[in-house]
Amino acid sequence: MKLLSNLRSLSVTVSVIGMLSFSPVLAADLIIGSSTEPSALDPQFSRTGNNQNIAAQIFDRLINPDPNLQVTPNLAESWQNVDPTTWRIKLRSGVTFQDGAPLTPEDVIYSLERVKSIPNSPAPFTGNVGAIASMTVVDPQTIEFKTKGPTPDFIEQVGLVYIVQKKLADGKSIEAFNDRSAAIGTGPYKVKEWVPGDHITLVRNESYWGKKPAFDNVTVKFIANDAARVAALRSGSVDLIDAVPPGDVRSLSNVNGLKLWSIASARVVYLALDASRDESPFVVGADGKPLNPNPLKDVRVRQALSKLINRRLIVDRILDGAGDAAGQVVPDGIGGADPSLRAPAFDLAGAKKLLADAGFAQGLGLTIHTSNDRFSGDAETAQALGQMFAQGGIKVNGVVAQPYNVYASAAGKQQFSAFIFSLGTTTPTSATSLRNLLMTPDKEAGTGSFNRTRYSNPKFDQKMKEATSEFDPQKRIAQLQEATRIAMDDVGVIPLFWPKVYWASKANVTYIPNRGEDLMATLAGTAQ
Amino acid sequence: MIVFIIRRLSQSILVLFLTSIIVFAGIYAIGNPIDILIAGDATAAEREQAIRALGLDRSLLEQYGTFIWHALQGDLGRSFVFNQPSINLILSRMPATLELAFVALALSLCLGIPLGLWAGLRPNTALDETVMTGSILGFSLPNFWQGMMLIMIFSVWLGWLPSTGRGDVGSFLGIHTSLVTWSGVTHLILPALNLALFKISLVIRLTRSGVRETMLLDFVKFARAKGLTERRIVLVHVLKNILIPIVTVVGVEFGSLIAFAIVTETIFAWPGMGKLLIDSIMRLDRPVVVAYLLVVVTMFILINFIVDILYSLLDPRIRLGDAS
Amino acid sequence: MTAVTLPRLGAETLFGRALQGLLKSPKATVAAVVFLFLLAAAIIGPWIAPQDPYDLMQISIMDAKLPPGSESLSGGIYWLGTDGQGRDMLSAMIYGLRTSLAVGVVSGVVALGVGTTLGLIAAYFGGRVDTLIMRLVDLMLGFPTILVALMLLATIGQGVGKVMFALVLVQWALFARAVRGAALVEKDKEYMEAAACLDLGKARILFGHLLPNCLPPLIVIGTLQVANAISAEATLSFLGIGLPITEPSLGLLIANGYEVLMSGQYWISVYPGLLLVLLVFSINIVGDRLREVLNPRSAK
Repeated sequence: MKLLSNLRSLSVTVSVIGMLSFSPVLAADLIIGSSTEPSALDPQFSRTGNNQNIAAQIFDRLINPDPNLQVTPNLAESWQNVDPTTWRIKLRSGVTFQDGAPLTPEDVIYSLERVKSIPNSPAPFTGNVGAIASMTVVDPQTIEFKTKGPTPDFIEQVGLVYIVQKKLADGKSIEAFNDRSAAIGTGPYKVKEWVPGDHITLVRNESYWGKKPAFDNVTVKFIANDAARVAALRSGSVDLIDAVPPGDVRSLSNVNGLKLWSIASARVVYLALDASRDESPFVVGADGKPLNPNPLKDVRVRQALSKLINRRLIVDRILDGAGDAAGQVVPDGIGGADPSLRAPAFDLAGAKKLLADAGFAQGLGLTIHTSNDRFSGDAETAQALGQMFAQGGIKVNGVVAQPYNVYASAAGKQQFSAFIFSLGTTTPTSATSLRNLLMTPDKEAGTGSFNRTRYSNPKFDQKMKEATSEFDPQKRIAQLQEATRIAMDDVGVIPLFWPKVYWASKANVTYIPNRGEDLMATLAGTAQ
Repeated sequence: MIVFIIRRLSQSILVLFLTSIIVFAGIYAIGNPIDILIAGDATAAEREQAIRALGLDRSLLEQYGTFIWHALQGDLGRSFVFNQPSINLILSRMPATLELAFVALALSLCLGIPLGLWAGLRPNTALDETVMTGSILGFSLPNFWQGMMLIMIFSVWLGWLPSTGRGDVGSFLGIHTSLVTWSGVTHLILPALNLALFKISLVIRLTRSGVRETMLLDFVKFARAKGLTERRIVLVHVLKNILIPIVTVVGVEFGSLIAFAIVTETIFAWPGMGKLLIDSIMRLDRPVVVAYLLVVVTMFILINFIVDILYSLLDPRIRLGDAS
Repeated sequence: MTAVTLPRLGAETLFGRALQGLLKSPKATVAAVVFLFLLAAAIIGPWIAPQDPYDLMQISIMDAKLPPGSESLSGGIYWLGTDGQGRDMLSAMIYGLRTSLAVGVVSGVVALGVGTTLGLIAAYFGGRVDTLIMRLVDLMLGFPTILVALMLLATIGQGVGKVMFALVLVQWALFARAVRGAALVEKDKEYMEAAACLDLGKARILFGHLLPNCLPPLIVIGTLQVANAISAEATLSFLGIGLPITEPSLGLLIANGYEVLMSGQYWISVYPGLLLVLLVFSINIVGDRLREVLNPRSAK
């Protein structure tokens, strides 16, 4: 009880000081209900979105992706390509860490080197610094980088690594970040308290170099359960939530005092087809045995499957309209999207004709696999595909939904024939997504890391190689578009839709919807 | 007695050993945690590096060997997800769960025993019927559905109680608990009720059937003949007699209250051990799941052990020798 | 001859007494009728359901999430609305009832059988046998259902039989513990000594004499457990580890509607939920009555 009253008097003192030192702006607090939670406060420990949401509020990166994922300067004020393997980055001046120490080029170099030696990191940033051959300090504001080869998208790579303070982080383990002693960045918020599994509280960094965020105190509550998160907003215990389930969008938009914020995401939901093998376990004939040769190897069969899918209907009925039918991997607005590639139209007759031409007017059996807890509507989409394929004369032997932990590993081991995944693009162009999803898997070259069907198309690979070594942005985009056309004509995967992402808030809070699907207090404001 | 304890102890170590093997192999069979933990746009090299960093590139036997070697030195490994010692993670979530389980247990005993006694002493009356039918309804409601309904009614429609999370944590006699703050108590009500409803029904039934059987026994007639008040007979003699099944069942159930409040903690976003367990299972965070189950199995062994001893104290007909 | 001195339940009297006892209680009679009605609906389901909800050709997401009473594209009426896939809820519930009943009863009964046998054996023989069984019980009680179900899903795949198997695996230990506790008390009673003196076979002593006297607590837990098994299957489905999604049980139907419950499409979750509660409720009321009737001590 004594502690309680002490705490109370402490908070009184704090607010008195607050009133004395600042203009009479009313203290605004924000409570966020977040669908994800960070696993650590070390910003370099994991590159996944849940960690970045928090890290990006405490730490800064050299660049900042804008709501459309395009590059904007951040700690790096400008960058310049001296020759194909040399880059110079100019740091912003006058930036200090939250403990008052100035940001130095040494901090930046240390941070970029540190990512290679984070113990037990399950999702390291090493790919981001993979191109760096050497780093030298030119002057207190400038760093020169030598790259191992021509790297046109250099800044998009290194720019996304969080910059920590060398003095605080050197030789420290993850505990130093989790107990907040090293979790001191240059960002707009400071960490006040972290209770794993429950909440994190942030307070505004009054010495932040950039635009001051709207809220003084921010509490992020971790509410993974969709219905619980929506209920928390409805009952008023939080001000802002992310990842509003599509099924709740309509009803929330009818609630007085609540507002919805949305944007078309850069996450594509697609159907992968096991077309690279002579036999696929779930492509079977009337006798239930795998067909040889595998009908999915025939591009006509893949085209027919694509035509059988009524994408508009899936978006309308399963996502309640919260999405856009997809005909390629990234949507308009992301570099490399080809405006000429529209979502294939639903065409029952055309599909049946293609199947007949390929010799599978009937007798083709297929089982569709899906996760059931990875993204909104995954299992429902797979069932809808089942219906649509069945109506096209394909014998659908089942739609199997599994939790992602079982599903992902099995899919990676080529245990499925037709299966659903989603792929989020977080870079300004489609290059990364195309490389990971459709290029021939090759560990040395670092391509095809999510190419679970081992799709391989030499023409596509060649075009991608040209694109990723092209320095001229215009040409690069054109090459990416051409590569996309090659893969889509060949139906390397069947893109289904890009879901819309929704945030919901109380009416007095505004939010900037963004394609990175981020949930950050820095993107929130107060409504007039 | 000492022989009994020693024998029990050595058996228990064997059980723990077996548990660790099953969980280790089981999670290995489910899948690769890297598939879940990796960034959505990772390169093949990053994937390889992560697999090596977590030691997942080595054979299962080798990984298990390392685990056992460290476990014998008191180190149960670090979480794949958090890179913190798993046991610390579990202990940090334990107070929230204990709090929830104790409140639920208290609710089930405080409501269950009086209601059960009340019904049992007036068999076949309207009151008895109502209580019993109510208790049956109580465990006919699936836990997750009931939680959804509680949130719908009390948080969304009526707006009386918060639906998720734990409230402010205060300190009382050095114990950190949310029971001493208003926000803490209001946050606790719905999840505790959701967790307790099944147990309340269980305790009602056990108490009632116990009372009904015991009231027919000779010693009750004898006690009446001796002129003891009905009140004394019921509250002292009968109650003592019916405590055996209640102790057993509640004992075992208390273990499950602590260990597997998974559904309740998930629906109400309660930051306890159950939530940690389900998250860890879904993310294949093997070190946490293994450590968790070792802790839980130890707890069950202890509870069963205590129940066995209580048995022998409450009912002299049972000798511990039989149980060993 | 021994039947005179030892409490024993003959098959005929058991059934007769059960029926008589049930009919004496109006509440139990109603519950039994409801249960039989549900059972019948489940058995003849495929012939009475307006639609085969498992047949992908018969359902269309064009009809998804229609409220109760809506007209379908082909002119029929969806009396209880449709779910997110355009399944007729009434048909889906009838089929779901079949699955839930089958899973709950089969896994409950098998677990009861296994658990009872092992519990009796542990109590009767004591010593090493007891130790082995009871430590196995400790082990099983420590394992969360969801982990067992996930391991089985990953190793042997998905299906109704596999869910049943998972549920048996996690339930038997509860029975074993309860039976052993009750049997230990009975074991030292005079009639057991008498039975031993008469040199009856071990199986006969165990199941003919020890078991009936352990029945009251067993039936309490047993009725709880069939209900619990149905709920457990529903919970597994809720957590995403249950049955195939194209063949939903009641639990899976509830789980499917859970996401849209707050957005006003209550029927997808509420109707199967009510049916599930009705099913479990009626089983439990009947079971409760049977317990009173069959109790060898209160039946005198």
